[in-house]
Amino acid sequence: MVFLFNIFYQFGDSLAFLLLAAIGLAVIFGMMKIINLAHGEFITVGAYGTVVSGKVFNLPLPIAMAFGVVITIIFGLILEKLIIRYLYGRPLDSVVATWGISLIVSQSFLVIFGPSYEGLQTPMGNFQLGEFSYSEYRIFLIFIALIILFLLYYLFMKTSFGTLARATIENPSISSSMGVDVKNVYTITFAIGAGLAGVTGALYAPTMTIVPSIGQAFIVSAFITVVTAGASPFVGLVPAAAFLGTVQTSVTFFYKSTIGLIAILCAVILIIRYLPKGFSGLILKTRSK
Amino acid sequence: MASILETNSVTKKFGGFTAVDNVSLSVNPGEVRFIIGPNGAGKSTFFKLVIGFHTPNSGSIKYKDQNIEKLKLHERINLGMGVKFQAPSVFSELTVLENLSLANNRNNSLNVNDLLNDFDLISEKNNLAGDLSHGKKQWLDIALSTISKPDLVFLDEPTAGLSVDETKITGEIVKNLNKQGITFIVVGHDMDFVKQTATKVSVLHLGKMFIEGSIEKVLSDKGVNDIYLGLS
Repeated sequence: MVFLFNIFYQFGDSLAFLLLAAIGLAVIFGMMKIINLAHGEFITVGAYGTVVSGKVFNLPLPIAMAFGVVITIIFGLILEKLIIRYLYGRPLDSVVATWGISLIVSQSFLVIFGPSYEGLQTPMGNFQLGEFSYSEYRIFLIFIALIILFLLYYLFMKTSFGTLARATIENPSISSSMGVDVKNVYTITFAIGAGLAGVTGALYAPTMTIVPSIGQAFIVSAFITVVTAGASPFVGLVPAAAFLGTVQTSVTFFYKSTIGLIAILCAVILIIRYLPKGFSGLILKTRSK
Repeated sequence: MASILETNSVTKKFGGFTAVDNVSLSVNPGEVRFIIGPNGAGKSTFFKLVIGFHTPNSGSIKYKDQNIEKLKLHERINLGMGVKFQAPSVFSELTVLENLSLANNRNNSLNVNDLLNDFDLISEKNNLAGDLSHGKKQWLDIALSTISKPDLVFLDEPTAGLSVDETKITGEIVKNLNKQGITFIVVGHDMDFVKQTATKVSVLHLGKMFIEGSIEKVLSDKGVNDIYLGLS
């Protein structure tokens, strides 16, 4: 029983991390095709926004988290207006530009806040099962990740705004010919993606050491999860994260975490080779049969 | 009668090349006006000027007496215009119904099933638009540009790639929409379609307005025949 729960806990922790790392990028890269190498820095902004507002203004954690998310949305909006809107349809240029943004932001955090910042205490508590102790907050993150993903799926797949956003990104000229202000749709969609990265930073802020490179811990997981999810990221994200989480958990359980990371990278190579449209391509193909 | 669209001495140059040269045009409400001419006549550039893809170097474009030459496409659409580009422009990843609901941002009282019947799309309403035949994509595209009941619709080569039968059906669709009060400006090549649908024709040649009038007047003009035969 304890053994099984331990496996479930490790798997759930890995699943939540992969999902939360990927949600913002699923919008910005998966939908909008901006290869955002500054995604980690968006998460960093969310984490610092949460921790600094929590410490400086002595805010309760949920309020500090909301503050962190709002700061990230504003940060995303400014970047979109100044730089990103000139990069739609230019994926290679977006790599260079967002890489530059990433360097500037991480170095700015280093200059402003120093090499590390005093973190917040992890909320909730721990519970004991057998000889192992488990964080209740980590369990909470699993459910939050699934709820956020469901809401995101609903927003982009079931609402009129979601249809409009998907349509506009597929073909801005047609949307414009229907009277849609394409720039506004792009700006709002990008702000949602930035806000979701901020949510990730805010949620993980109490669990990690706050350093300027905190976002780098997420960037690889974010990209491999979105790529494995495929062309329709909101359909493929859960199976992709579940698959990668299973690979990582099982390999890490028997070997160590470095080998687990190597294993998921190998798994991604196999997925790209045999499922070029990712898990969403497989699901949509199966549904249409 | 006040014109719904009026261009006044509109000129567009690309470097040293003048694609549209001093073109003045006045379209009255209720018309199905065709803009025709041989390749290189300036039809496409003129189309792009009136829909807002190009800004004229000189001259003015008025829609219901309002200058629109500096407005973007979506701003012109929101004044009550519709546009259909030459290639069928439908959202291929959305269903036929999703395409229509996205385009229907003004006409809330619309009966979608009636509309689907009018455009022969009822049996494909839940299919992805990308899976439709070329002809049905063209009709869906016309439906998208007219669903909000705009006062003026621009159609660029709406019968491109269609069979003779499909062209006839397209003509009937346009005439039916015209009876419902929509004015059309159509850029086209297909003379059978022009004869079936046009109420007035404007011929462009080398970027200039060559002749305007009824289809009979235009077709009986020796100059027009010479242009199409490459004699001038």
